[in-house]
Amino acid sequence: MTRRLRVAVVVACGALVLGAGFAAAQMVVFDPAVTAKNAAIAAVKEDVLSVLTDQGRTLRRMAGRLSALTNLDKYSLPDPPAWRIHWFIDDGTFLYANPYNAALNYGDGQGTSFAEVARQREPVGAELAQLTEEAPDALAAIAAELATLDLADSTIIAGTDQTGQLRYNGRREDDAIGALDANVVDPSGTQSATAVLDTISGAGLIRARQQQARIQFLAAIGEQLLVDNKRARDAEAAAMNMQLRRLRDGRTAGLALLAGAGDDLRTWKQP
Amino acid sequence: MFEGQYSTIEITDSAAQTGGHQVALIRGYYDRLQHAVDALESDVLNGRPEYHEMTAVLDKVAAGELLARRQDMATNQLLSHALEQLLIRSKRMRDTEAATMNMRLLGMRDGRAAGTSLIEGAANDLRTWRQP
Repeated sequence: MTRRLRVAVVVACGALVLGAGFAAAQMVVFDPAVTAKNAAIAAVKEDVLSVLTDQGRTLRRMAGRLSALTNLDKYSLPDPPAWRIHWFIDDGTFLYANPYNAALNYGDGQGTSFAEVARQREPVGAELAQLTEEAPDALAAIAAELATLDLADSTIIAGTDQTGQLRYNGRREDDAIGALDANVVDPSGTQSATAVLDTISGAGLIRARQQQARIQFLAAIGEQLLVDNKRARDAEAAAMNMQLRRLRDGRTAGLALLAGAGDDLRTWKQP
Repeated sequence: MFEGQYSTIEITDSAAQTGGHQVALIRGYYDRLQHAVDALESDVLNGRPEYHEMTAVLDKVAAGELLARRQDMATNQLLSHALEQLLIRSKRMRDTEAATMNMRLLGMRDGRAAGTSLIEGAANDLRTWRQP
């Protein structure tokens, strides 16, 4: 045999011996505990995957906006009636009412515009003091009428200031509602449930402002009605007082009048 | 005095024009509001389950709030005009009362002197009168 052949035979034998050794190491090992554990882990993983898939599906369904089902533009109401102002420019449209019209637009807490258009009142002086003893009933009646005038002045000034300020603020309220409108009808799918809740929260804030304004309006209206009722009640009380006194003293007064007149006629002599 | 009375008429005119215009605008706006409310009712009562998922319901709540804000603004506008009418009516009555009270106070203050002067003047005239 040649040298090259001998080397090849030795290498082949070595490879055969090594291969036989590796083949002897490939034993089948079966551990029931490990197998059971792996099976349990696989089952749990499958359950978790199923639950997460369900959760994802549910969340996606819950996050579905109304805009995916219908067009939200139907809720948009642009160009609502604006808060108009009273004309107060001094261009001859109104001759004397411009200051008060401006107060109805912007408010006037001092009441200067009302003083400009209201009839001036005479100051009360010593003439009432003499009624204290001479005619306390008359003094009380005049005092009640003066109180009605004071009340009317005060409520008109306060009510004018109130409605003017609220009318002026109405434009900002209109702007805020316009912004709310844009958010509500925004069809974007990126608007989450929290974003929609934020929109509702903003609407709640505007509602609180509007209800505050409504309370102020109703308070001013209530005050006007109260003054009206006091005026009517005072007039009714005066009429009722006259009626009661006529019932109480009318007969006596009538008889005295007749007796006096008869006496005068009987005793009259030509001068 | 004349300015006060004239201004009452002017203020009445202004409030009547503005109030009438506002009421007419709101009457026109009412139809649009009604359509939107009908649409909201349709969505709220929709039978499909997708309409009753959380975010969809929140969208309907937001839409309802938007409509309510529009309605509230119109309500406040009407209230403002009702208040203006009452203010003007109150001013008119107050001016009348002030005039009556002024006459009464002036009568109490100067009435006696004025009456005495009148009688004295008339008596003097009668005494000194001569046939022309």
